[in-house]
Amino acid sequence: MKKIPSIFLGFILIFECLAGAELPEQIKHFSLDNGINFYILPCPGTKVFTGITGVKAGSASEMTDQEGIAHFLEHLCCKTVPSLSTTKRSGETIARLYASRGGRDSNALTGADTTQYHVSLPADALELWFQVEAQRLKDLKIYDWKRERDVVLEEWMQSIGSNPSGGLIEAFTKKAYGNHPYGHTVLGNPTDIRLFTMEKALAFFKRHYTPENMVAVLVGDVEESNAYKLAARFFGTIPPTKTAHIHKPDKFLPIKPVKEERVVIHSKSESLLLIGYRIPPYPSRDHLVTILIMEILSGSDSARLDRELVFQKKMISQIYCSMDFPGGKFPSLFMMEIVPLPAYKPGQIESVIYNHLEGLKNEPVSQKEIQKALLHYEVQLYKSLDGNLPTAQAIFKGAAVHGDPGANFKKLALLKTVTATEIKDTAARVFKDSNRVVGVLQPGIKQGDKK
Amino acid sequence: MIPFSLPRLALLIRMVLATLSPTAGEEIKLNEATSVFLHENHNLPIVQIFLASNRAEQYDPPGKEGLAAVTWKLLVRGGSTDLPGLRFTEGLDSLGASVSAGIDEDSILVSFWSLERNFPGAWKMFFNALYNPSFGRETLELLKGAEKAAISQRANNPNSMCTSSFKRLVYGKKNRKGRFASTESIKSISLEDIETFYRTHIRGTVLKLAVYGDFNSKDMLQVMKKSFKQWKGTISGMPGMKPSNPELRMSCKPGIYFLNKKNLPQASICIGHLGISRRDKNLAAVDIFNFIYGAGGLNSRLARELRIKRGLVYYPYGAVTKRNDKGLFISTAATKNESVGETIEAMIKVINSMINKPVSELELKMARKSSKSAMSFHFESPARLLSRKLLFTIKGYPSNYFDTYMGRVEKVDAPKVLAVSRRMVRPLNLVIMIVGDGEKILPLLASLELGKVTEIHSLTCGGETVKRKPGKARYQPVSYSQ
Repeated sequence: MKKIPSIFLGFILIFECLAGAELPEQIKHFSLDNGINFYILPCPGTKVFTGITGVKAGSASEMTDQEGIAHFLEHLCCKTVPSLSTTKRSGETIARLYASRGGRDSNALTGADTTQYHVSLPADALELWFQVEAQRLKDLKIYDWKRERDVVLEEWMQSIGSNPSGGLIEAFTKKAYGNHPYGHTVLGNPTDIRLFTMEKALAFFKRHYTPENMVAVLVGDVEESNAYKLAARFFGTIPPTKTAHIHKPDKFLPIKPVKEERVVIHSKSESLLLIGYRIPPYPSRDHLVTILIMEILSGSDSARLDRELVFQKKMISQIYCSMDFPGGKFPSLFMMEIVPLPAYKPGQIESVIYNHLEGLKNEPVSQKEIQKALLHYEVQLYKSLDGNLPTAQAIFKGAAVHGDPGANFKKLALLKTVTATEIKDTAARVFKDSNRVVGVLQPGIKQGDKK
Repeated sequence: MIPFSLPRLALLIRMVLATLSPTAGEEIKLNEATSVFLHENHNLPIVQIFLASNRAEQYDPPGKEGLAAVTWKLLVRGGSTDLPGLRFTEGLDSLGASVSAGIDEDSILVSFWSLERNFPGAWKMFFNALYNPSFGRETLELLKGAEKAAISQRANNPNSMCTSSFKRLVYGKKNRKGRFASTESIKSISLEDIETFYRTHIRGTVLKLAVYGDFNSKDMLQVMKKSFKQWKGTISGMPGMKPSNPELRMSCKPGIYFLNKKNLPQASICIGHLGISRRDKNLAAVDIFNFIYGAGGLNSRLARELRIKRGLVYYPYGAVTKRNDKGLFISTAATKNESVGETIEAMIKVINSMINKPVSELELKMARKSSKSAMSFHFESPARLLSRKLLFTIKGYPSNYFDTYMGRVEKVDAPKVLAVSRRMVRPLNLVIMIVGDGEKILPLLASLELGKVTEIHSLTCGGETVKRKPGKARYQPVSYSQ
């Protein structure tokens, strides 16, 4: 492509890709001999890029007595890399290496299915990115691991230990999944965290940070040929492993729900209601249809549940629905997070919601409503891709979880084929009492509790 | 979809580069009270409109904290007299359009989003709601309910409790920054209050707009001129900016303040004092200071000392905030009960380090690069940059603030950072606010010998007044010596 010297061009090109819903075709893909997959969305002229590296392993890959180790390891992998200069003996902090070149958003995320490390840099720091990221993934040098364990404990206390809604999510997750790999939060639990050792972290690293398990994404001012050369030079030296330890959904016994599961936690003043329904993973048809149902129920202010619960009955202040809780690789939950208003008990709100779900089983949804739901999904897709980082994250998630970097766009295409009859059928299969998990954060001290 | 047109694009880019400004185009007056920035971009079939005003929280009357927020939210959700309430929401939804409002102390940003093909209808619907709002009692009650729910959520979070207690202490309740919306203040907001606020503050003053996306500037200007023709505001001095109060003094005495919250495994700490005005001449040096002190992620001194070196805190943060009159010098941390003492000592050590010795070359380099790249990464999303520029104009920053920023950052050196640190940071003036389990923490604090501890009672985020122990003078320290 002809080079146009402008910092604005890249933005325009990104959206040129997206506008035609042809993003998937614009993504360049190559893999190295050792099995690492690279996905590149070039936007020449932008002068900046965002890079993500990561592995297809997260909290769901942990052993039962090591809950939180994937996240602990992520912390360790953010600290230092072996010195890039030959004159220094000790490691250099990644944060410093990136900041010295003007890096932004240098951070990492552990999820149930994946762990990712991301940063945005000026285009001329591409080589540094390859160098640092290859070191990070191939060679774990642990300094000060005990201090980092303390930090992770503080993080748990801040997010869950002193936060009632965090506490509810922890209990809800346990209730929904039990001993299944999705049955604990990413942060793990303090008992396990206190027993983390360097050996345990290294064992997880060796098992899961293998080239077959690695995914890298670049979005921005990056040339594919240049990226390939640098990838081969820095990542090519990571030796392949003979046995890849990638969890597959069929490795686990499917959860056979027999009755509604429910957990109630008491808090001083906060109120929160979680309702989840078990759904199969993408790309199953029931999963796709449930996405459309989610839009119909709560995709916008005038969607069914928002209209009735927020506007008409004024029972709740907001409702937020999402798919893939806590991950999208295994069968998971379609989730509704609801903030009730003080005058209403969760039971009252629940019965309104369950009536709507019954309605979906009995009354076909009109074409007009289906079109509105599709429009809303499409608008949200555009809005969610504003900038290099969110775009790179969408590609990473698609590639690492579904093996398809353009999964979001594929979903849109598939959603357009959903019929009213299918919605009825899926609703009947998914919205059964026995398929439901409920979590309640109830204000007021429980009777019998002594404070 | 819009076809990719290279010549058109190149022309647009040259136009953009010629101004060398992050936003294309100048501020164009629509009438006496309103103006607009236009920025065409034809590559997504969307139109975004940002609307900014400074009639924000700073105009909340005492006792009615939350009025500005509720009024603006009602304005973007309540619909017009023609199309009130839910019918308005449904109308926008059916066109794939949406509108939202964000508010802080001295600015409000309304964001409108529409598909290009539905823009005329959606804009008409939304402008009508701005111009002939239907302030329905039903929607008001709904919004008040949501505000109250949000207040209870915050009241339960020790970190936000700690920060608001700190602000309340430092600013005092005469200042809006030291008062918070409470269930009572929200409850007291009536439809009449809303209408008065709308008439005096929204219709009566300056509005600034920015339009971004797939349109023709000439046509869009006509649309905006026509829409705002009847919109009459009055301008006096700065566009409605409240006069700054340089005489603002800290409302409480320096010292340690404690709020007891039983059974918490972790304590929240907030340390600092009053800060500076955004009219300060050395804002670039302040940004450099902030990065090095506590806002530079893992590279900040607070993170290096508290997290990396000692493993005490997950996410320590510290910065000098800029406000119209005076912002804060504020540092926050959360740590397990046992390490509250060590954490406070370490924080004070870092605070002292900022005024005792010049920053290193490496720190300076990282801070400069970071401040400058913060600016260049905005180019990734011109819409975001445009809204930011609009907000800065509303907040009273000079119009060339963005254009001169890189140069000003480059000129900041170690002596300048030291000078600015010594002017902004006063270790003898520190207010230390702690929220946590008193049984465990108070004995620890006593052994630290940092000074007397004043216990605060019933101080919640909700905004209730500080209840003092009977018979004790205001801020009379309660000693916990052993």
